[in-house]
Amino acid sequence: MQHLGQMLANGLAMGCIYALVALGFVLVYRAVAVINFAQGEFVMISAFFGVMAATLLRLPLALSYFVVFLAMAAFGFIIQRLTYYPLRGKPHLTVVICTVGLHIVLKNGARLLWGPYPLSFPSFFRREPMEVMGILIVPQTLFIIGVTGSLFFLFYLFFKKTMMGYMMQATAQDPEAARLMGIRVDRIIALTFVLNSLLAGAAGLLLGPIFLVTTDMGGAVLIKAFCATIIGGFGSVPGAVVGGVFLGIVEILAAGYVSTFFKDGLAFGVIILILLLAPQGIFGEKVAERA
Amino acid sequence: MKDRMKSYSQALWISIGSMIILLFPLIVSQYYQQLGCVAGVYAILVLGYDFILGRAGQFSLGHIAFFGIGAYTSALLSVNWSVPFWLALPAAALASSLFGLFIGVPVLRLRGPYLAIATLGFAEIVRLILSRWDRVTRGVDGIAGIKAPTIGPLIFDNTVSFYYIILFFLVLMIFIAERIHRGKYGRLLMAIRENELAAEVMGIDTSKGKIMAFVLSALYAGVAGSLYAHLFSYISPETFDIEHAIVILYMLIIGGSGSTAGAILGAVLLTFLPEWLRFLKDYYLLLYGIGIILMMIFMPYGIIGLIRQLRLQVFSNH
Amino acid sequence: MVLLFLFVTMIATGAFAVNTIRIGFIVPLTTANALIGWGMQHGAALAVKEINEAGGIKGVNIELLSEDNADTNAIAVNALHKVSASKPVALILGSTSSQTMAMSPIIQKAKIPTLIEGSSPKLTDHGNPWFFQPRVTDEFAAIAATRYVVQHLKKTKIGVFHAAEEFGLSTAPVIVKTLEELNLKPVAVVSAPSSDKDVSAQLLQIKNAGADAVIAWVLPAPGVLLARQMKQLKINVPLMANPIFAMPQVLKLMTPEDRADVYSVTDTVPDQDTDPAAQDFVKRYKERTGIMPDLLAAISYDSVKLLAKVIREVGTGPEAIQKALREGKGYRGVANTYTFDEKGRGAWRVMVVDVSGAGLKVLTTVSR
Repeated sequence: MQHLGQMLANGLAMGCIYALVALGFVLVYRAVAVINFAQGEFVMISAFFGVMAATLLRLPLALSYFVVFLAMAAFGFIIQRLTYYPLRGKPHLTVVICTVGLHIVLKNGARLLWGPYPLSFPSFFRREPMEVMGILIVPQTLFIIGVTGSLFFLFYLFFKKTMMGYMMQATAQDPEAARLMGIRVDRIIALTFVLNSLLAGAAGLLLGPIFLVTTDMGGAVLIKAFCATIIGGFGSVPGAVVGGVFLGIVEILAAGYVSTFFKDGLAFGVIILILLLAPQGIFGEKVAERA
Repeated sequence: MKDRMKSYSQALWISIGSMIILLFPLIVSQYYQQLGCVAGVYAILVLGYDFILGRAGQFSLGHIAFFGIGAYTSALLSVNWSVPFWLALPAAALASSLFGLFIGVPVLRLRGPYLAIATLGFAEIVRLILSRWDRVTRGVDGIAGIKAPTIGPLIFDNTVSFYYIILFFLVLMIFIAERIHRGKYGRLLMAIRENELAAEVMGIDTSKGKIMAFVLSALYAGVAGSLYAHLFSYISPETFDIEHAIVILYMLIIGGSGSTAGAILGAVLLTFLPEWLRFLKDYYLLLYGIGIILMMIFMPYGIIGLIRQLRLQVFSNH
Repeated sequence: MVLLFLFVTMIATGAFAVNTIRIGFIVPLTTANALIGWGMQHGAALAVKEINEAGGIKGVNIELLSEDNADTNAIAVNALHKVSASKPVALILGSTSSQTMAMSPIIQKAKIPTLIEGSSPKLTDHGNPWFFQPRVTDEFAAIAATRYVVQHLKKTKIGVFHAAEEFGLSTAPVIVKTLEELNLKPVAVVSAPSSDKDVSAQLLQIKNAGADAVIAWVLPAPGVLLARQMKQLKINVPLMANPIFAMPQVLKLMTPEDRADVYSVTDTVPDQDTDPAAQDFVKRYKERTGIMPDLLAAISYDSVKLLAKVIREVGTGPEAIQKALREGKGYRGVANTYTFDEKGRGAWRVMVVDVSGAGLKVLTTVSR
């Protein structure tokens, strides 16, 4: 029982991180119908920025986080300007291939810049686990759950309650109509990318201290984000969050109780089952036609 | 007069081109012979990919799995039961096609990103099975000692001779592809790609069309897989992973999807290019990625697409 | 026009202007394993530099033809063909076993003596007479590690944790078999893909089974996470692993808490070797690169020097080199002392090190 609790806690934390990444991913998809294959790299870059800020610039940790957020916002904007903007209106496949190219550029650029060796990310907290109701939890885990929870709440407020949020929703639903209503569609799209960058950035900063920071950490993150969005219903914003948490928990329970051997295949197996049986996921819209 | 000149010069270019392709392995070093062989195998593979992605317009990312199924079928037949190449290859093509059918029927109901992710997932699962099912596939060790093709007393176990075998199959597969594309079925696929809903309304059985395209693509991949296995005489699951799936996607897109010439061009180019760029050492992949991005911005329809555009402009100027 | 130009360059095969003795060197340079390739490159390059500065081999310089294998079978084979075009007298391969196996049939046909830095026993099991392995096999190392844990640390309830990739999948059975020979069974055998960031599920299984020691065979980054997560889950038992924890760049990532009660079995710890040649190597490698040499850098260095010695004695003929390598006894390198057997395996000594202190402490040496 104690072990179940432990696994649930860890699974929840990982799930929250998947959910963050998936959320940004879905936002981009809704805004411009693009599957961002470079999503994992945003997470990775942010983790590296974090390491640089904390160790190279020797900034106090809280300030480092803040600096990284600014950096990621700028980064998201620049990337969007250089790669998405020139391609707006082009066929979807073209843009998707472009994001794959971006994935390669970021991954290898990072390797050339920071070297192939993994780096260590300092943590706010001690590594010593605390005991909460008989479960051993590392403070970082609670921090993750707390932070992501707050971020989701803030995001919800922004999306549903502010003017900007409404404009984003409108643009996602129908860019032409939005334009006719006077919404600066290009700006909103840029904002979406920046927001995505910040969400992925947060994920990177949360992941960094628990794991080592390596240039290839993006790949696994991307796949999990895919899975999360499919489970939750592709294109659904709450779906991404629910899907992410669900995936995190199911993954760890499967590894614990079924087989560690096939843990990585499990994610894909689940996706395929869902796609074949209930492709709309938990919240999504209808996606397949009857034969 | 001008027309006759044009057809003469076309014939001349084709003759020169054919001569170069035929004599290629005899004049270059073994390094380039090998590259030629690999390029040929990938040309067949990408030609197959064109059926489902280029012509039918379905965003499948799982093509690499059929490559793997073909390669492993051929390899296991050869190593376990000494099945000769000329039987193993058709068996591999059949095996891949069957998988194409099994997977295609349920999966092709999906559209767009869902299809992409489902097919990607399928490819990953195939790779995992190839890596873990030790008893059958030898797992991560791979399969060594795959036998070279023989015709009577002749053994085709060096790069030069194998080149001609690959060339034979490439020409055969191009011929078949062109017949299909120029026929009724080819137009059916184009209709599905351009506007699936309209095609259905017109009475076209789009499901059947898509599944056929998928099966055809799997068949081609099976042939390519078998050739690959016998060329290298060793295969391992890592050749059939997502990284390689992305490479064949690039080959088709950069060459120009929806075009036979594009598929072949892309395969050949992206086989030779990494080798020519070896001098870039560490920086190679970075520049490769930047190249992809630039290409998508400036040449979204691939090289063939660009050539077609230029031709149109030239003609419209007359 | 462009095509014609490219075509012409293809026809012009490698015509070498300068007379050198060429050694092919195929390692990962552009992928995630560039981590490993980097050290190998510097070790080999240092050896080449030293030899050439001392006058080369009877006045002829050595040239290292290094090519990237991009961690892919097809590209590794391409690299091999490219290098072969320049007629090297020998090859050094730093690839994974998959790529090495892909290159094997070609090397066998071309008859080029080859030193492989991989640790998989399969590389010298499949019968290519041109392969020589100056690296301790995973099999030998795993047996030594298991015996140490049982016989010296006196543990009986072993949990086995291995990577889900080839080297882990093939070594786990060796550990289990060794335990059986000692009349024990592992209490748990778990695996994780190297990209997995969270291994708490696997560790909880081990904890549940009441293990009093863990033997792990994993890659460096997952290894660090493993050590760390063990402490986080309060699994405070000894952790014994493959050479990863003896690598300088891995130790840098670990805090003293992470390193508590952690052991590694490794071919060598270069800076702990009292031999003056080894000390010299460490010093010069540090001057050149700024960091301590790792195991593979040392083996690359040894490979080049060993080949140079053999070539100096018997010339550049492939059969002669092959014979000399096979028959030579006890070549003292900086990473090990090499004597190649009929399968081509040449390294038969490992060190068991305690990683928990400020520096690495060699506890014992295990030889054949």
